[in-house]
Amino acid sequence: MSASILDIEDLHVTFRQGGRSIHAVRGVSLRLQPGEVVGVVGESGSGKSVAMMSVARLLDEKQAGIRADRLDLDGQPVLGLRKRQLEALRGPTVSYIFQDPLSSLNPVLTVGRQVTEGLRRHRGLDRAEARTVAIDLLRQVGIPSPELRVNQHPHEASGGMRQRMMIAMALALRPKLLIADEPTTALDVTVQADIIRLVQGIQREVGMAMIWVTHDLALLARVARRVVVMYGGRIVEDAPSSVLYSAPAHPYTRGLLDSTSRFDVPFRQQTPIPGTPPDPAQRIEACAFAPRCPRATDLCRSRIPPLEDRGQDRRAACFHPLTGGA
Amino acid sequence: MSPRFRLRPGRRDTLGLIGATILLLAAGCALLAPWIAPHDPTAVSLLARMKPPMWIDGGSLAHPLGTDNLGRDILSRVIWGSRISLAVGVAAVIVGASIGSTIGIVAGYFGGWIDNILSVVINAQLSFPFILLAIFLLATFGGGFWPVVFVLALGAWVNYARVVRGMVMSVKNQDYVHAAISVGVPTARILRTTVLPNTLSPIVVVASFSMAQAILAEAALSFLGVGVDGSNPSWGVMLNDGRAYLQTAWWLTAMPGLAIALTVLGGNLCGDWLQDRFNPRIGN
Amino acid sequence: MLRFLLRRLFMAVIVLLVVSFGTFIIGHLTGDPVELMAPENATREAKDELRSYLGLDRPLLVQYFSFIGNALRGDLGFSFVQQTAVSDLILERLPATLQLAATGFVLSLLIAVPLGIFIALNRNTVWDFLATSVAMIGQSAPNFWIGLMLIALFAVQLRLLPVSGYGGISYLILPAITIALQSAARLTRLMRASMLEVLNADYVRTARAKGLRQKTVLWVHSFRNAMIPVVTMAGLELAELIGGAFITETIFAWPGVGRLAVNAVYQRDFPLLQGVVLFAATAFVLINFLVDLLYVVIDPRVKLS
Repeated sequence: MSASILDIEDLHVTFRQGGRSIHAVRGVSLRLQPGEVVGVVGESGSGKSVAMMSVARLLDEKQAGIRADRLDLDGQPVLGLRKRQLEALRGPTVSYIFQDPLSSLNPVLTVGRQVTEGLRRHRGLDRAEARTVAIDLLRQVGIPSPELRVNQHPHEASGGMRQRMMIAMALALRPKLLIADEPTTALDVTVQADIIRLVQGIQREVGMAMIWVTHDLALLARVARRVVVMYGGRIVEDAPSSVLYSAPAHPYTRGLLDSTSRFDVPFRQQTPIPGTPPDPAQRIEACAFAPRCPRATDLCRSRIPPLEDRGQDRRAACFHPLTGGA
Repeated sequence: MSPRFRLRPGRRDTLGLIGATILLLAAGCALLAPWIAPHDPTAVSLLARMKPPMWIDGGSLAHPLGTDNLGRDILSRVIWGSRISLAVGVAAVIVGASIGSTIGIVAGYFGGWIDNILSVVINAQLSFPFILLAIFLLATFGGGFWPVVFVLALGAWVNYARVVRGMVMSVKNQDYVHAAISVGVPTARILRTTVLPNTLSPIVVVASFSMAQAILAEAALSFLGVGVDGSNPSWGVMLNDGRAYLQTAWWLTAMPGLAIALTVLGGNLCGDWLQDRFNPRIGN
Repeated sequence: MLRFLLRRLFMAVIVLLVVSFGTFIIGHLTGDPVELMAPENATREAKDELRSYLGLDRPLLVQYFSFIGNALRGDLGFSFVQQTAVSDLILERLPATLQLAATGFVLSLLIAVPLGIFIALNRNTVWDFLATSVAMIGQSAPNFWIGLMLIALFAVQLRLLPVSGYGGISYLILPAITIALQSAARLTRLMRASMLEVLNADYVRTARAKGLRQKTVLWVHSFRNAMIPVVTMAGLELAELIGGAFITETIFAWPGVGRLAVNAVYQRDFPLLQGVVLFAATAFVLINFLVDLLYVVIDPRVKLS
């Protein structure tokens, strides 16, 4: 087994807000091999974005406290790095595509400048070289007449075009790990498929590792080999897609699958999960899903179920799994 | 879904509480002036002229903030002065809010040419040096309590009109208003039951700021000699009177100014706080 | 972009028309200038003759248009009290006002922009608390009172600077500080709020995610965006100052346009007052138009709207 590109062990993220503290991530462990494509799925508030943001320490650390037994990115302990070393990792080692391309692009800088900034910073290209590369990158992501686009500003493009610009920006340095945080949520349905295909194609070509963060299980079915399900700041199930989609072990995964639009299931059988997600400000010494779970017992309400191996390369955190367990 | 937490909401609440306390204290001074003022604010004492505040050599506990050129007790005068300054502020807020909100509701609800005229008038007024207009009007038509109130309201109505107009325009497009219109609910009733309640919170926010502004403007007008006159002086008048003695007795000017600053601070803190509570997006 | 500017220009013209009409009407409400000008024992015929000589017997609208026409040619009327053309009086006072306004404005920006950024970056520290409190208090204290207190301290007690008047740099310091403090109090708070909002923006996170240096993130990605609202506000402040810092100029006996206006009120010199108001409003509208132009440079989004 080669060295992991990402190795997270027991990650916790806490936001302090006034006197309250919000425990957004409550012990996440995840390991990614070079070139591996993983999907992270969960409702908003499940801690998936916060956990992924901590990988490059992008959270505002005046408000967010991050601790972990291990948080290694390409073999480097992220939490121990100094500012300069961290900056050197961001871009060449890990890159991000964010949800809303309009708010994630700087309104006052040209597209060309934003796409090439990373190159100029990390590879030391001069202005002219950077411009050539920028045009090339924009063409690669399918932006028509890139020579004109480089001099334009983000608001002059459509939503789909902006997301392509974000992608060009994230790929400029051929990162070893690409994290796409809900890359299609803010887009029209008609362009979502194009964007997904584009990112997928580039990932295969470059061979980088990738994490898709989304609340949409149906999307992950198409792109990820392995799916990690998060709930209440914890991983509740982690399994190869083939296993997870056909026979989920965790009742929450089951619920997610049932509430996802699928063409192979009649509409009547698509049922939302009853109840509401847990309050991230509350300490829970139980299975966070228990209040909404049809299989919950007193055991679930008194102890936190550990994330255990369930065979078939699957991990699940449930006392009463649907398959592969007690 | 990056989490965005407001910075220490606790601190804002504390500041708002401080502001409200200041305003309540000022209101208390105004209401209870005859009982809490240690001296008659008009009692002249030629023996006790220009006494400095108690913490300076020559001052005494009898006159904690000193006395003025006629030997009148400054603390008592500041306490009594709160009556005029606050009354002007409150009256200006009521008049300005009534006029401005009415115009704002009409323009926002009916839109069209009324709205266009309003925006031109608002822009025109904003580019007009208000203080100059105020002294101009007061110098021409004479000062006094009500003239000052109306002139201040004339300066403030725009703020109400602007905020209310925006609020009405957003409420107008809500489904329940469309529904009410489509089933033939009378316009006056729609305005009263759905639109008006929604405009209340922004009006309160603007009122808090404009109360502070009115007190400041009243002081400026009185200072220029076109404000409220009378035997019971406002803080602005006291400031103006004290100015002649700036060289020898700074406290004549300092004390009423401090009273103004504190009260206005109270209004501003309250305004900030209310704005935060009701709607973080209402600009001022 | 052109459409944006044309619309703004159109609005500016409309605003000036409304303001000038307002001034004109108020000027007419204030009484018959003939009564003020003519000697007390003048006959009715003599007064009528003067009235028609001045064109005051024409219909109101005609008078208004000739007023506007004259104003466009730089003729703002005649001050009977001072026996001088209004435009000459204003031009004579303008340098002093510009000197004070420019000094106060630059001083204010020099305080507000760095301080606002500094406390935004160090929010919730002692520095932040101190600076925000002082700014809040500065915003609440009457400006003329601050001016008087500065005089009491620096001119009367410490005898470092002259009390009031016009002359060398020493005369400029206190009024400029008075103006700057007020404006800086507002701008510092705005700069802080704006910077905090930008630092929380998604595009700043993107910039950090690219591994850019902190310096680059701050000055290239945050600063320019944070300045957008500050520029608007600063433009308003400057516009107000150029129209005349009425009270500050009065306190410090500064021979500027503002003091000219206040004196015109006391002397009931309505043509002069009318002229100053029109001048101040024009300056205001003009500066705001210039701010709009500046906007086009710093905020490329404007080009589309």
